[in-house]
Amino acid sequence: MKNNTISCHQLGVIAGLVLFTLKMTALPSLLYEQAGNGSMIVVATVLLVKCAFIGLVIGLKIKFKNMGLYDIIKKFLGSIIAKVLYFIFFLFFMFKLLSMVSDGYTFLKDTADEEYTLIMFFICFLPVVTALVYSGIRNIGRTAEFFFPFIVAFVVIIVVFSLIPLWQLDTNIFASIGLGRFANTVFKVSFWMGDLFTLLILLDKIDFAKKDIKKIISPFAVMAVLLFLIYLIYFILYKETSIFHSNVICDIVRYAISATVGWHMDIFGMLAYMFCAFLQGAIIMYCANDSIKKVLNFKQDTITLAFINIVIVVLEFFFLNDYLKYIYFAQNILCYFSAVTVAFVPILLLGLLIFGKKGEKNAKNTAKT
Amino acid sequence: MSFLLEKEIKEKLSNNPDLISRKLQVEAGDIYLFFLKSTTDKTAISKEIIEPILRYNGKFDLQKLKSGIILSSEIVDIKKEQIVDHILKNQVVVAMDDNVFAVDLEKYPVRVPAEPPTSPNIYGPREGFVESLSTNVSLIRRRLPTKNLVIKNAVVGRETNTKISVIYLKNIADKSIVKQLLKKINNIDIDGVVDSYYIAEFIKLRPKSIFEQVGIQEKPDIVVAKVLEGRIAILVDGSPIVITVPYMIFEDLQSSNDYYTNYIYVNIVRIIRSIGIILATIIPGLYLSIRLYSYSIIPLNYVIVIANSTKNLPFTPVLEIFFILILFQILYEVSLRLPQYLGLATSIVGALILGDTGVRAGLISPPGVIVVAVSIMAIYTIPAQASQLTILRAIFIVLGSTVGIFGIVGGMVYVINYINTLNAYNTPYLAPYAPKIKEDYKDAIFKKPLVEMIKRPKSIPSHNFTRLASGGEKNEK
Amino acid sequence: MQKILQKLKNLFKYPIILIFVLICIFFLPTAINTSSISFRAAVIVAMGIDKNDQDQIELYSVVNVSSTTESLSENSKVVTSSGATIGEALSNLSLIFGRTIKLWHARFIMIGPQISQDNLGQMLDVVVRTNKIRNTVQLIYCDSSVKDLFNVGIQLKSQTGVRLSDIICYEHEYSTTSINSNVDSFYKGYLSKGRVSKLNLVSLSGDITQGINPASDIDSGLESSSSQSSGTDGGKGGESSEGGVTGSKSKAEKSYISNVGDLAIFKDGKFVAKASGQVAEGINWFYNQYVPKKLFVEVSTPKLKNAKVNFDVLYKSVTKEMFFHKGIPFYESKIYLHVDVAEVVVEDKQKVGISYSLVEDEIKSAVARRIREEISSALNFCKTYNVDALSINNQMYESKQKQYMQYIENGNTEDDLIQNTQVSAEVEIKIV
Repeated sequence: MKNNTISCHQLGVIAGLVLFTLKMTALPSLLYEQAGNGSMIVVATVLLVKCAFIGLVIGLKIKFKNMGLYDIIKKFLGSIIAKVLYFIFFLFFMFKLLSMVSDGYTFLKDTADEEYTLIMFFICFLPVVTALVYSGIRNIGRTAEFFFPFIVAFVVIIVVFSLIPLWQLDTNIFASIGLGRFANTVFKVSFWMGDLFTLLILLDKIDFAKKDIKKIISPFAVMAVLLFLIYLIYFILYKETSIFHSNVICDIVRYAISATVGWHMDIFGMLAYMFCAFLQGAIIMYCANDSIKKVLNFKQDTITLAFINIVIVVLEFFFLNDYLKYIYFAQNILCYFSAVTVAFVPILLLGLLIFGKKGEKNAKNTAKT
Repeated sequence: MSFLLEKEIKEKLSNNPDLISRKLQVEAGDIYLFFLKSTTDKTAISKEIIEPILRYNGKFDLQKLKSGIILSSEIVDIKKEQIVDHILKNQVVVAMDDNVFAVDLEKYPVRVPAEPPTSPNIYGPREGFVESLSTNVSLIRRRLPTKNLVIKNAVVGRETNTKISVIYLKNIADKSIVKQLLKKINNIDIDGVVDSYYIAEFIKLRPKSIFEQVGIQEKPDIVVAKVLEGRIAILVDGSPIVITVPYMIFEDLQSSNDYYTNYIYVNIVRIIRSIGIILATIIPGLYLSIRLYSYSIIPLNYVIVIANSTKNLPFTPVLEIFFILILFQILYEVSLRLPQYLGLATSIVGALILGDTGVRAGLISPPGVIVVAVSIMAIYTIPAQASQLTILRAIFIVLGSTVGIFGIVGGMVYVINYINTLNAYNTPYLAPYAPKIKEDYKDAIFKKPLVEMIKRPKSIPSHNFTRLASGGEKNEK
Repeated sequence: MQKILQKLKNLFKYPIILIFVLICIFFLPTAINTSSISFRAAVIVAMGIDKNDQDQIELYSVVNVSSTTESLSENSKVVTSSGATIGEALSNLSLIFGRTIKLWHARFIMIGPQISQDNLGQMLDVVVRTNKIRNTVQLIYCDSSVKDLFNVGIQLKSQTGVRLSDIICYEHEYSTTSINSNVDSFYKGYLSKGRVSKLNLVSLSGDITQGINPASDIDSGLESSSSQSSGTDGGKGGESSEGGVTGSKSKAEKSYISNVGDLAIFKDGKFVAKASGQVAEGINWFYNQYVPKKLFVEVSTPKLKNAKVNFDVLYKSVTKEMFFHKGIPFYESKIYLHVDVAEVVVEDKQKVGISYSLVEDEIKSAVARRIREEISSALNFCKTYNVDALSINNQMYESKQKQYMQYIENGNTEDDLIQNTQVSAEVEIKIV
């Protein structure tokens, strides 16, 4: 695939988007179910860990210059382990894509149109996402960069409108949480936590310079702050009824605006989510594609992309066609898989970062990003 | 030189009646003149060639003829085989003995440079390009009297032999792009080039794409401004349209008026143009998706108004919108082609039929008319993109009516991604927003005052980015 | 064969165009044939739920219908349906009306007195579970017949243009009891420690000074209402009814829609009592989000004899401190008010226009007294009916979780907390 590098700012935008998207729908509800009033502690902890993860990615990039994750693992652990890990990544990203599909479809049914069918969703989502992947990571990066200000603007509008009446509410949502309950909550929602893995797959595709570190951090920080605020607003507004909502980004503004006056601010939430869904879908599919290509040593995209599309359609139509089924699957089965991946891989990479020798691949001619 | 050569030339030119051959008998021998009367200046021929030759009393030789007798400024030595070519280039071929030379005394009807209809100015220059290449070059040369201005000529078209000039500033333009461009132009092998758009098709990265990949200008001040930014201008004889490359889509959001007015007002106007793009392409599709699927997006009051306005319509929403669109499009085509004195009557009929009678008859609804009318008007906030926006509007109508609002968003994402793949001449199409080039924000959608535009746009490849030196003021030392 | 393969290859060269063509082939004909959603669906603008004599759920839906004239304004019809549950009644409604029911634009849901005797938290499960209706839709309690109220409301709209939802959902300027009462707040109370929810209360009253009705004139109200076509009989499912009031009502039973800021208190989802006047105002003093716009006080002091003072409340803030001391719960609150004197009605003509800085302390203490009276009424109400209308349980749990849990583990209940809590309220007023 040509067009295969992204700039630091584009990386930051991608990081912000993947952090944000899948956490805007049912996750706050599930968090409250598990952690109750201690949900914000969990959220704050997870965001801090993600910030540390960004640091890990930057550290790997500085230490291993032009090497990709596959090259790094292959260098230190051998090609077989690299392929095994990449196969695990491939499965992880396929599950993520499946969750993206379930989530997106349910979101549309709830907000845009009750009569929306899965076929209508697929016929729109899959071709666009596949076309984005096929055009290359550079174009995905540019497209994400183009839509990023709009997404931020929409989310900021929602946050601002939801914040206005908030000062009058009197609730305490930073309650303490026991360690056991904390660990159980993190375990149960671990599947929603591994989004920043995409940055690892894109490691060799970053046009990196040390002076550009700020450009990676600022978009990510913006989305992290907005995410934190949305969760804060949500838990303050809904408290005990937090478990009833599958669509947080629209519901926070619905509460804040009176029913007779312009409660249609949720259109901004819808638009923000829809744009994020396509971009996130493209990034995840790109990573899944890249992973499987590394495992099978393929160069062509057509076959792998076709395979991914067919698998997604079959799984969604025949196995995970109900949102509650997907939630159950994610919370009770996938959590084991993702907990291992999300915990083990960063520790491994941290070890390589600290103890591994510096490495550099031959510099490639990179096109203008 | 003999009678036989004259016969040969006439045969080669199919004995065209506008070919004139004149024999002048002088002491040294016969001098033959060949020219096309329809495309040469006969008065000048008489004054500058025939009269001096006939009145000359001294000894005739070729050198004297070229340097002392003939009064014209442009004389070129040619070979016998090139006689017909030079006659066809609207030159006067003078033959004496076995020596032949051509004199450029071209003259044909040319428009006076006037303000082009698609880019009127409230303040600022009102000159526009015309169909004559030399006039166009002079319009540019007058504004760029610098030794760095380079004009490279080419001839394209087997039958038309159209002259093309490639103009750039050698101290600013990127040499690799110039080389790439010249190579493409020289490789064009076509029977005829009638307009600059023919050349545009050949130099585009993707000729089949609906998006323009070259800039199209009709005004010399705009072309000069673009050349000063590092672009390359291509002028084609016979066309008043000048092509500029590289091209970025945000150029079409800018008009020449923007640089002759207060920048705050310009920012507001550019925002309105950007909104115009969205209204033009997305509003009809969005309207359909709301009426068919996503009624919950709009407040109840609007649902009620739309329901009451559309209650007795025989058409479904999709058919209604297509019907109104086709009617408007027919009206537009008619207004383009009808003579002016009939245009007013047609407008009244169109307005009455569409705006009033159609609604009263219950064939179309007022919201539908408003939506389509707004969309059509909004397209012309950016006339250069009118065809693209029209096609995109049709696509979004299909997407909105089949897959709803999600389809519209998906379409937008796809279109933006597709645009990002149009990377002709190392210039990103959506620069400076994708990729983010902060330095170029000063003249994209928003504009800063000229005194702050210290550097040239980084989006356009160049080796000299300094526009304003020392804050724009000359060093008084 | 090769030509066909080449053509197929060309087709797949631009797959997105192929997909677009497929969309046009498979979906566009359906889209072209699909009529507008306003033809396919019935938009419900308001809903009323109650129980009939057969103990079945009865649903009164105000459905928006297209007007028969060229008017673009709202035109509604009340449709009645019934079923064993609300969900079943909704399905029957779509059968009755012949269209899919769309609930998204419903402005409010009105709960009748009969159904409120059951656990509403269970009954309203369909509202919470489905995403077809917003969780923030207003939930109102009506202590009279929901059907009659809707009929009066429809008539009011058609005769005067005043919408029922405007009256019901309006946040009063002149009442201290403006409350955001919706499905979500109901469930918040239902799921809280105190298990108490508060809803706005609306009623049909015979008192002309308490409400509004469609009649244009006070005296001719009876004649104009009698000239309307009747059609509100038959609470059975299957009949649609026109808005209107039967003509043979006596003056005493005339219907005025009344929303004076009363509250309906629910415990464990069941209606317990109505809080009106001082009680309702007293309950709302403890909540930061309820800022009364106006405050009326009667002052009787040596300087200001029998004066009625009306204040504009500019700012209100409540701070609370909850703690347990020797096993006894304490709830201390401090209410800060910034007010502006808007009107003074005083007998003594010498005092008209008097500068109120001279009598400021007297007015302040009168206000504080008034507020404490209201709080006291509210507390008595809570103790009498054993309802935690002040959310003391929840607040105690949030601020002093361990001590609260210990209190409960010691054999006390949430009701005991209400009875035993020592509530004090300090009022600080600043007259601007």
